[in-house]
This record gives sequence, C-alpha cells and structure tokens, in this order.
Amino acid sequence: MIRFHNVHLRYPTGYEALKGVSFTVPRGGFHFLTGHSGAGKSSVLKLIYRAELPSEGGVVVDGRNVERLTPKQIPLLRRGIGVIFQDYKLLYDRSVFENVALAMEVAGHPMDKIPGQVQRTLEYVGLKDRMHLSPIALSGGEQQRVAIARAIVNRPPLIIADEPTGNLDKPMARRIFDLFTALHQSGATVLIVSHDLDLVAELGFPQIDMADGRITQLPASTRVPLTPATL
Amino acid sequence: MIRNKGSWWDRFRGARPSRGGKPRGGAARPTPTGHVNAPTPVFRVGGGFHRRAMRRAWRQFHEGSLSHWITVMVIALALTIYGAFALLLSNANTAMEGWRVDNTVTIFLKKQEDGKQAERVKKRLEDVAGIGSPVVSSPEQGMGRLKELLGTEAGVLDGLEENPLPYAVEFQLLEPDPAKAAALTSGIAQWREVEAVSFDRQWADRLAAVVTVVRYAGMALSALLLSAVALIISNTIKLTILARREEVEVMRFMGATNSFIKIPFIYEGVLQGVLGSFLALGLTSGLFLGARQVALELGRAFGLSLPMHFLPPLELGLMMGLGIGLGFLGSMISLSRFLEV
Repeated sequence: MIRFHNVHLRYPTGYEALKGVSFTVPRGGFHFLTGHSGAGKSSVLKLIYRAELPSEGGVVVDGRNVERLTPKQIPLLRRGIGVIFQDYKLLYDRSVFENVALAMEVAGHPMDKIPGQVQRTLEYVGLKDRMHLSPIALSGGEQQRVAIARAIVNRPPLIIADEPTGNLDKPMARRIFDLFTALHQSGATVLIVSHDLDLVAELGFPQIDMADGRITQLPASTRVPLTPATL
Repeated sequence: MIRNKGSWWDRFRGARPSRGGKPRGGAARPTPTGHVNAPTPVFRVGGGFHRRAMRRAWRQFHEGSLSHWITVMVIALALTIYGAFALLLSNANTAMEGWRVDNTVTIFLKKQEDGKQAERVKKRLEDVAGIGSPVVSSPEQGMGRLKELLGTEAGVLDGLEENPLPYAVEFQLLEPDPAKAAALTSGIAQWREVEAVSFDRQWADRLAAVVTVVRYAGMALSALLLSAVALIISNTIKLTILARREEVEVMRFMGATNSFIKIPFIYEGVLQGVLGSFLALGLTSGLFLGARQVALELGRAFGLSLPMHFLPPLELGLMMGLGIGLGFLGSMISLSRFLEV
C-alpha cells in the first residue's frame, strides 16, 4: 500500500527532514511510526498525501509514484486517504455534521446520500447525538473523533493519523486507538504517528522507529525488498 | 487512484470498537446506501456540483455580509452612473433624430432686392449640388406666416407702416454631413444678394457634437468606474479567500479539485454583480421617472413636447451583463493572485 524507497526530503531552508528513508506498509497492515519530536514522522505522512514531494528517492502509494501524478490525479489520490491531523483541522464555523459532510461533498457523493452516511459514521464514533453542535463545544477527545469520522466517512482504504492522541488523556487515547483497531480489523490500512510508546507497545502492532530523519528500527513485515524498478 | 474495495466499511459496521483492540466482529452486510462495492467516487461536474457551489457561494456571501453588501452598493452606484449616461444619450439621440428631419434653410435677400432678383437666386440655387426644391417667399407671404406664428399676439404687427420683411428663398438641404452642410450654407451667405441665412439644423448638428463629446466622456468615466468596481470586487473576494484559507487547506487535503475550491468564489463575485445590477436597474428606473416628471413640467411651462423613453432592452441587457462580467472578472483577479490550489 505504501512504499518509501531511499527518500530524502529537504526543505527550501536547507533543513533535511528525511535522510534515506525506506519502508513498506502492506495493504491491510497496521503500523505505528514512532520517534522523538523532529524525527521526521510528520514529513513521512505529508509525502504520503502529497503535501510534499521527495527531494530524492520515491514514494509509492497504492502502486502509483506520487511524484508522477498529474495535477488532476492528486485529488483522486487524496480522496483515497483518510488523514487525521494532530490539530484536528476542524472548521469551527460549521457543525459536526457539516464538517464530516464536507469530506463527502469534496469527493462528489450525491447530495441525497450524504446525510445517511454521515449520521452512520458519527454513530460509530459515538457522536451522533452531538452532530448539530459546533466542534468548539466538544472536548478534545470528541473533536478527535469528529476528525476521525471525517477521515473515514468516504471509506478510504488508507488511514493515516498524525499524533491522534497527542492532546488526550490516557483513557480517551485508549478509546481512540480502539477505534483505529476496529477500522484495521475491518480491512483498512492504518499508519499512525505516535509518541505514546506505552500504548503502542500495549497494542502490539508493528512499529517503525525514527530518529533524526532516519529509520532506526524496522519490523520484519516492513522490510520488503525494494528496487527502483518497483517504483 | 486508490482503489476502494468497499468491503472494510461493512466489516467495520459490524465491528463496534471495544477496549483492548478486540473488535466484536460481525459479518459483512450491505449498507442501506448500497455502497458496499462502490468504487472511489469520481468527481462529476454536473448539476449537483454547481448547486453545491452556489450554496457555498451564498453561504460565503451571507457570512461576509457587510463587506459584500457594501460591494453590491458600489457596483450598483457605478452601474447607475453608467445607466444615467446611457439614458441621457439615448434620449438625446432620439430628440436629435426628430430635429434632423427639418432640413429647411431660409435665405433672406437684401431689402432692396425685388422679386426678379429672388427668382434669379432661386435659379442659381437649383444648380448647386446638395440642395433641393428652392421656393421663393415674398415679403407678404413672410408676413402672413409670421402672423400665423404669433397667433393671438399678431396684432402687434398692425402698427407697422410698411412690411419690413425682405424676399426669401427656402430650400431643403440634402447634404447629410454636418461639416459640408455648414460649408454650403456659409458659401451661400457670401452671395451679393443675400442678407442672412437661417438654418435650424446647425443647432442640431452643434448639439450632436456636444452629445458625442458627452458620449465619449461618459464612456471614459464609466470605464474608470467599472475598472474600480472590478478591483473592489476582487478585494472583497480576497478577504473571503483569506478568511477561508483554513477551509481551503482542509478541502485540498480531502481531495477537492481546483474547480470545487474556486468555483464558489467565482459564483460569489457573480452574485455580487447580479445583485448590484438589479439594484442599479431600480436606481436607474427611479432616475428615469424623476427626469420624466421634470421634462413633463418643463414641457408644460414652455409649451414644448419633451418625450422621454427608458433604456431599450439591449442596453438593459448590457447593464446586467456588465455587472455579471465585473463580478466574474473581480473573482478571477483574486483567485489568480491569492488562491493557489
């Protein structure tokens, strides 16, 4: 599902966020990306949804090299990825329902299909009764669940999350991870950036460790041989 | 791009989250929406797309209410100024068309010239190109017409000891070009027998020249005003874009196309143009009704007929088109400068 081959990422300032990163996340896999702040974890996610382009190397998502996408193909790539941001990126001038519905509108779903699908998704994240409130009226954990609902409402085959429990207490973090686990059990490929090592260890899913823009520990499942020809 | 098998959703629906990451599980079953095996939706630019874009445009307009309404007012005022010029010129043109019909030129001979001399002048005029049907008018005929013109006041002429009017020759000027017509009448005025030339069309031609100047001045002023309006619309849209940059960013990462993001901003500009045009139409109608009332009263006071008409449908369409075009142009300027998607 995701392949990184010797990826370097240099920002215009000269800062090198990634230095030769290679790993693979197979379809249907659940992986954690861990490491200290500034290790390059968020940069990896940005490369997956093509917010950034690699300076060197190749990034392949679902068999397509993201660098070779035409401008018209980029939105199609992004519609297949449910992205959950650390700061949620919710729209506070809209209701919970509208925040989630926007993802379906963007994807071009018929108008009459949107309310039902949004309500079902909110029901699954336990927020159906709060769908008419503004996200500002919700707690951090609830806002995170709105962000998750928005990311999964189009049923993307790939879900990536950047520190989804970074601002939450332990029980709420656990609840959010349960939700990701359920999504994975249902067949979605999941990649989560997290620094909560205790929780990551407890869940027992493969863990890719990063430090200073490099991968320091790679589980066996992610060491699929790569050649430029596979890119 | 990413192939959505559509199956995990059903498993997810049957697998409510539970503590410990152990989902309770459940068999896949179709969703009531029938989306089980639906592929990743392909964005279609159809009726739904534009309906949503219009809804978003209206929402954006509504939320930025004050600045948007100010812009609408500015559009309306600029278009009203344009409409007022168009109204003035259209009515002036109609009035001049009426005046131009009267191409009669009267030349008054010197007092000492008699009827034979008048006939000679008539024959000479018949040989001049651009002149039609010259007719001699005797002093008696002239006096008769003058009395007719004065009506009940004609008695003032009874005190005259002798008829002061000279022989006159009237003819139709066939030359349509105002400059050539003026040269022709000036040439005749130089003839030895001629005392004076009376040519009403000269006034119409002078008025036409003034109207032409007003027309160009109006066009220049309207162009300046409308350019300013386009920049004002562009500024309003810029403010909307800046206010909505987070929303735009979120939509981009969700997979929104450029059209999906940009078109509501274009509709927003066009909406301002449409509302401004309608308002301008109302204001121009008000101006017209006021001017018509003034013209009626002036006509009544001076015994004149000053008929006025409203703008023709083509001119009204042009006004609406200008409003819509300005809205579109203003949006496009902002989008190209402030929205990179």
